[in-house]
Amino acid sequence: MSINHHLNKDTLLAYSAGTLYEGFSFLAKAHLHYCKTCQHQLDLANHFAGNLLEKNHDSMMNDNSFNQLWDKIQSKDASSDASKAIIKEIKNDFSLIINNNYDDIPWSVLVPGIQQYIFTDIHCDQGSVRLLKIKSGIQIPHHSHNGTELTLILKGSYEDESGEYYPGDLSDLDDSNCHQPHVNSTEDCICLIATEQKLKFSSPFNRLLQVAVGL
Amino acid sequence: MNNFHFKEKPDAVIILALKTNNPQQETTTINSVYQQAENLLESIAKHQDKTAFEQLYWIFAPKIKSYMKQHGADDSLSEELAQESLMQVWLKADKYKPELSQPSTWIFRIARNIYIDKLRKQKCFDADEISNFENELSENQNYDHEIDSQRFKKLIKTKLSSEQYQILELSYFKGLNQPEISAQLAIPLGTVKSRLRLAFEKIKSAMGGQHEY
Repeated sequence: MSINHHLNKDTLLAYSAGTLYEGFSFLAKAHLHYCKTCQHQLDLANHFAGNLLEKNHDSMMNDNSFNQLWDKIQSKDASSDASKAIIKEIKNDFSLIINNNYDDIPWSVLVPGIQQYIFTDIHCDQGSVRLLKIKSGIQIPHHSHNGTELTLILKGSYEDESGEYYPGDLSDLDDSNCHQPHVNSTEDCICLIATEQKLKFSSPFNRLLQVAVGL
Repeated sequence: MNNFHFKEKPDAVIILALKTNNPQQETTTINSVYQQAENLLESIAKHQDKTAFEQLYWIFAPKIKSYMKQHGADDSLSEELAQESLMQVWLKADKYKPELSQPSTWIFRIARNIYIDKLRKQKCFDADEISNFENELSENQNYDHEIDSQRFKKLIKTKLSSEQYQILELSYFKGLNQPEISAQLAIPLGTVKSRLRLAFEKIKSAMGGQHEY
């Protein structure tokens, strides 16, 4: 997979620091799954953070701090069931995206030509994380964003003002960008989109449509 | 509006008192402490070595406790989260791969994930269990902690501007996202982003030398 559109470096640093909204982290993780370039750069950011941790000052620990922990390790199976449950849940959502088996997804119609699936348990501030399946030839109305919008292409392709996007490519846009994506593949285009706010459509008609469909 | 106290850049701390199982404290240089961490992790993974674990605990737990406090947790919660981080280190020691990262980077990720889980109340998508694609990237790095540490010091002291360092610190130690940093420093969001991007380029040019990026 040849990937030409990547995470912005500021997004990558925020991912490393752990400050992204959950939905953006989810999407960044999916892109990192495909993109060796971003993975290497994330390694570098984490490496920098490891050095920061080494140079961090020490806090005073309780004298019996270690023994307390050791007793805990001895007294039970330390890997808690709660964390196992969360990991299972993440695995399910994550494998939905990377397993290329999009027919099994319970799609619902958003507007004619566009179907969606919302990840209701992944939060992204005021926005959402959703999969969109867009029919070949469809053009999404001209819009900008109140805040960041990350889009990862999973299948098919689209083009907008900034270029062509193929599977694995990621579009990392903020409120200074305005675009009008057009699906140019012969097959449907499936993409994963995370937004922190609702989209801002340029025309009044589309804003009405937005109220109707809840984008 | 700005009540954030900007911590000074870390000094070149070279002496660290290392608490060990031995009642007498041992003093050693910071680099050998972190080089030793790799051996300690190996002993934990291979032999469930309690003594090695205790040594590793006293190197990292006090720093992770500070990290949690910097993110707003109180003293007792910070201690608990530091203990929990080290518990994960104990449980996952066999998954540590020295050819992929230095111990502090691996331990940072564990602590950061616990911060995301417990303080930000988010599911953590960095969990190793989700996918092991990192392992495919295995490269035979000829890692030298001494050289790396020098590069890091130089990066902090002379390459990064104080504005860039401040934003990195707000991200990594205060857990502020970009809109929050923009509000805290009363600068436009675009400026936050561009400072972070420039900071990344400097990190890359200063510390990317031992890796291929």
